[in-house]
Amino acid sequence: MRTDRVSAVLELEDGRIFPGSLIGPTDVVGEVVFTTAMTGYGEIATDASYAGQIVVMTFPEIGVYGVDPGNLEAARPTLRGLVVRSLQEEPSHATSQLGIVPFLQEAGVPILSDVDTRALTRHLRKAGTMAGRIALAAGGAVPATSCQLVREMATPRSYWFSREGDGPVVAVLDFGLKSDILRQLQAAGARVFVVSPDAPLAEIEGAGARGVVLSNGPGDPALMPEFAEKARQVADHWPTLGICLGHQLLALGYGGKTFKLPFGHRGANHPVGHGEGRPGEVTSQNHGYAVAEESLLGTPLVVTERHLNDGTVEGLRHTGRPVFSVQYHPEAGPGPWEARDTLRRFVASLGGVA
Amino acid sequence: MGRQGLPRKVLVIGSGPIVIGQAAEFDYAGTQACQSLREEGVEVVLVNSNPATIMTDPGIADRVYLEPLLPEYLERIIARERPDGLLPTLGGQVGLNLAVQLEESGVLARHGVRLLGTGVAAIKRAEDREAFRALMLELGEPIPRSRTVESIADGVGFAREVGYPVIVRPAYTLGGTGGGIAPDESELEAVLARGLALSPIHQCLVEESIQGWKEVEYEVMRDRLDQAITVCNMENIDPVGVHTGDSIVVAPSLTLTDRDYQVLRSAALRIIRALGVEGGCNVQFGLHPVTGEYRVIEVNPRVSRSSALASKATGYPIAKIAAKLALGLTLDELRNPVTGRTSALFEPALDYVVVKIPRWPFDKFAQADRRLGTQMQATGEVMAIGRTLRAAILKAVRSLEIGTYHLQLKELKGKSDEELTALSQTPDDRRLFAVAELMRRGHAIEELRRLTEIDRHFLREIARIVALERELAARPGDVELLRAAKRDGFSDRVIAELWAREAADVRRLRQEHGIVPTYKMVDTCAAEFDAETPYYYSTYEMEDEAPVPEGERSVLVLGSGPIRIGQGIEFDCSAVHALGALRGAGLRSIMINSNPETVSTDWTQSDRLYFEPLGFEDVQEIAERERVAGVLVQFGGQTAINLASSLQEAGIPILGTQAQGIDAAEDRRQFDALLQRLDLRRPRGETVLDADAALKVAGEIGYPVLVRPSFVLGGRAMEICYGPDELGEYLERAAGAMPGRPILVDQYLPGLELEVDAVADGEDVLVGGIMQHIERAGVHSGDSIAVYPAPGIDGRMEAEICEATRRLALGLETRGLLNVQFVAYEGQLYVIEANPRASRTLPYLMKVAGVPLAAIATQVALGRSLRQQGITPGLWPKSPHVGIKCPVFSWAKLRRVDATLGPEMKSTGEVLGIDPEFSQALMKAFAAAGYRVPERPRVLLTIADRDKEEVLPLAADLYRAGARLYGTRGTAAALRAAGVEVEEVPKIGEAAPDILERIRSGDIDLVVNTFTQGRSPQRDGFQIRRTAVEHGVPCVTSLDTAQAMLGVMAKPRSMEVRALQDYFAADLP
Repeated sequence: MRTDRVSAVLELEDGRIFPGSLIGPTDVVGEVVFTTAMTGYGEIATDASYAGQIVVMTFPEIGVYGVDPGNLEAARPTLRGLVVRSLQEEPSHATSQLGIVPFLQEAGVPILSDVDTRALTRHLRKAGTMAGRIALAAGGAVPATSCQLVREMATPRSYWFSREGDGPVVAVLDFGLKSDILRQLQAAGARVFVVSPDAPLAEIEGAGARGVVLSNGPGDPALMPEFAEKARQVADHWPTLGICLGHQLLALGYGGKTFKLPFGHRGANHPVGHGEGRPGEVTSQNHGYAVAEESLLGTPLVVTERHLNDGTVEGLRHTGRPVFSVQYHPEAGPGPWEARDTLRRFVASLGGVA
Repeated sequence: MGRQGLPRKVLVIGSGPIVIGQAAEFDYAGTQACQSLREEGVEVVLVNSNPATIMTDPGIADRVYLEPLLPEYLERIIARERPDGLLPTLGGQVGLNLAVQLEESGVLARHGVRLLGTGVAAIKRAEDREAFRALMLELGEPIPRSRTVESIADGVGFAREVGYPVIVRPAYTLGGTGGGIAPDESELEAVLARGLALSPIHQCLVEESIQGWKEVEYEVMRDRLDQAITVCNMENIDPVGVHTGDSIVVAPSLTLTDRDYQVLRSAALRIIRALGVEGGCNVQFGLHPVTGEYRVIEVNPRVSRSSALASKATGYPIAKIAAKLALGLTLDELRNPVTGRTSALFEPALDYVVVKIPRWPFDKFAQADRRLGTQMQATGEVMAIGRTLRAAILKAVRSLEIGTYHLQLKELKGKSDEELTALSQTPDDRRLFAVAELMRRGHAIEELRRLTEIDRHFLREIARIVALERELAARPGDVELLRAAKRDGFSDRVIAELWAREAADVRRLRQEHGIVPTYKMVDTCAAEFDAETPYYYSTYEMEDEAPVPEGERSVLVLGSGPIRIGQGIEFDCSAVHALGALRGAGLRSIMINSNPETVSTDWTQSDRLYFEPLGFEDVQEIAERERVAGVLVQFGGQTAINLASSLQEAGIPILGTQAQGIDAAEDRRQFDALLQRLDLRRPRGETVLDADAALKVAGEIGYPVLVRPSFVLGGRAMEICYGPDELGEYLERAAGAMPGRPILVDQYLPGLELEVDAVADGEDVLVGGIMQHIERAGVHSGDSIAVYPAPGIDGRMEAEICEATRRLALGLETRGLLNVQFVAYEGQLYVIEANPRASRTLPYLMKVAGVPLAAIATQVALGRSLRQQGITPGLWPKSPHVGIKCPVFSWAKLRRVDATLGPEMKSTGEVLGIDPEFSQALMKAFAAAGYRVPERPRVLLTIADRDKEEVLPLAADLYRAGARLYGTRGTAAALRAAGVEVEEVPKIGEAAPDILERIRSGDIDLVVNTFTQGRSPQRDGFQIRRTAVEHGVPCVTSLDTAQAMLGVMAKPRSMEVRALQDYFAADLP
């Protein structure tokens, strides 16, 4: 059982070419990023933060356990393309419903396999992430990628994810959210209302939300001033937890700045320290931009956590309001579960019966 | 307390001799830990009885004690050194148990020593079955239903409740010694009897079977701030049921979803936090392949075989970091030593697949029960790294050195489908190969899945290897297939075979098409960060990332591959010395090895480490790309020696003794001719090709004769035959195993066996020392107790030995090391054999004589003569102290192996007894080797007729010294006739209680049993020996050993302890 593959290449913006074998459409363009997570290609393929990106898996054997629809971050793949070393088409796992190949094929996402992904990763690490094109042959121009990804990924209309129970209502402002955020808020006892990024704040009010989660999502936060403004308005009214893009928008909304990391933080092994003698922990991360710490001077935000490798900002706290944010993914999916408590604590802080 | 509140002086306990279940991994961990502690400015006192280790080199710790690992010796050392801390978690189970004993007996408190890192409470909660169960219940962690029993009846009662099969695990034993799976009640009774006897606290756990579940391990670390990480997880290809040490393992897990992975990871972290481990810890799980439910199988609160594997698999030095955490440092303040920049608080990301395959000793033990179960039987292991599972499997298979270079065993070709099916269902060491063989015959994945319960993914990958074989065979010369095959890890040799060509032709073809290996770095971070780890593996990819520096002179040192009987840790120790000597000489040192347990594969030991199989193709590729000035083959045991001639033919310079010199020593005819020319005596003998000729030659020489196949390692399949009947039987067996292969028949001289290790430079010869064996010739030198300096020879004989060694070295054109074995018989010196390479005795001799032979030999191989090195030829000055090397066996682990000494090597490790006094050194050696014989022992004698006369004076001495003697009918009669009082014990089955029951019931402290020929398990002697070793009763099968042991039994012990540094004023190797 092996899907036909054709010889193809990944051509980077800087002209570097990486040959491989292609399944799926050709002439697909995206920002080429790598993730070092060793497990969870299904979750990665459905994480909206990867929208517009061609994702390189540094772990070489991909596809072994198929795809489990019960453990995805969205119903359909969200990434632009997948690049792997060794593609395993026949799943071997009790929870697998279908293989990674049909799953991505149905959504028109190309898979380029048999690539020297380590060479590619080394290049991206040195040269920085850049645009690339999956094509049958090299030679086409590689255009820069679009930035209107949030609206493509987020829900156009607000909806209830879960209404049962008598827990506090949490509104999740959707910039391209991961389902695990919703599942875990629900598991923590919250009733969960998902809000479209363009919906008026009255919808949050109307749902009776006690607190708001600003979700993760794709793209360069500096190009989304309207969302940054919205993030600040939310934080000024409700207890708020920002995650990933949500965290960056919060910082921008209060007057901070963000910058692009040379090759991002994508993986399941990123150490974060809280300082003040509190133990550090290993987190799941997926971001290409970070909050510039010096830009927070004069804002009401203070840094609570930093990355232990490069010292970049990983957590913020509002000095006067119950507003917090983290750059990493407390919901994991894929990755370590240590930070899941963040979501539980947030729900608990909102009080009991509404 | 010293700097920053760190301890000032720390005692590190090693793991003692290599036995099955506790091998070289603790040398690696211990060496790394000592260095790590010293980096922090801590003074290190090391205790380990194993001389064949790097960790016991005087350069590794400030004070090195080669003393027995027993509480009374440890207390002396503590009193003398006054350390303020003790690190208990680096010396395996032995070190851990000892630390607990010292803590509980109040020794540590009395001397103000604090246990560092993981405390006794945590250790006990992990190790004590009941405490562990209670903790798991408290945490809500699922464990297999089980009951701790102290009697057979209790165990049987529990099994009736949960149903068969059940698993038996004795408490506090190494590598699961004495455990097993019991499919029914009668088997359960047998396993429990053994397990209860072997457990020091007479406790066994009887447990519900989760056989067939996925087996997954996590290596976890935690610091005092409660920060915790998992360094690596590993998945066993063999599902639960085969001991993890006997399982084929992949890292990281391949068939676990992120959810599976995180469920188990989170459980592992909860457990390490609840235990309060400060350092490394290993957690084993069973994971149900369908329901996803899991069980915690076992927790080891210390560094282990698995942590060594995880360190090599990821590049993350667990022992080094664990030592720092034990000092109180924390993960967030430490850097990842691989990148030098990023935090140590992270989890390595792999961008390759690692496969470990155990190396079993069944090639040496034809009678052993090869089935794999809960009791570990492997002596060593190999690891291979590939970008895919298939490549890693094939590289690992070639690394095993079991006579194959592919996933194929010749011996299985002749087996029927039924036999192969049985092999797949009831696993032994050949299961992987049996599965592949069945696939070649068209058996379906689903059928093999039912038989083996191995995950379909693994089976499919094996099937893809088999499918590629078929495609290759169908299309000889196809370049694209060749490329695919190389990417999948096929060797040139197997491709050549499938194409009916020569390997060199395949190589030429692929070079023409640019199909050459590329080398990638093991960097802990999947290339996310810049790393400078000089640690590489081969693959066939686009980019090579191991550029060879220009203008540097590089020398390649070949390692010795997996640890097996006859080729143990000693060779690794010597190879590491060679690496050090190269660095000292300003050269770039390169190591190739496939053994994850060793110091040589620590990437800090060489300028570049290639973790690769030691196959000709693999070595040639590296030697050529590195443009090496030469290859040192003399340190890697027979593995490296065997490559010498093909490397030389390929134009790669061999440094030191050339291939011809090696052949001249190994080839019987050439060696005989040389001895004749040099006027050196050797036992009479001939090489024959069939049984008739062998019997004829034996008749001429006169019995007893020593017979063996030619080109042997560790005296494999060697026997002494006392008459034509025995010889006939041997020939029948040996010819079956090796039809058409030459057999050597030699005169057997029951004289004094002597051994030297020397270095020669072509003109001069340095003899490092003369060692004398306690057992007379006929017992393999590796199994003999060796004494240095040799006490039983006079100056004349000493001079004769040195002269013979000199002549041999010059005659063999040795440049470097030479080991020679002699027999002195009736005043004459005979040469038994010469090995132009590092020997098993080399590390021992280097330590006790204080002579850095390995470094001297490296220099000679590089072209600096002994005189240029300022070394006086002749015999190195004899030390005033005595060093005695005593072999250690793993009898209890190997079912159905005869616990007797002979010309075939059986020991797995060794210990040292060192003391100014001979008898004290001997006592220490016996104590360290685990022979615990009380002052007035109860000794059971069962002596072969030919030895009866010789045993009489020994028995009389024993009797006078207060021993109680027991004997079987014949032995008892002989002793009585000589006036020695002895109690007759009924033979097996004769009357109750018979001899076996007496041994089992603990009535006997020592068994002296001499060997009668014929190795069928039904023979009484065999059963007596097996019963003794399985019940922990020392069993001695050589009268020489018995004499030595009983000779020192009644003497008072001085209990003096001294560091190695105290024995020498000058510097040591």
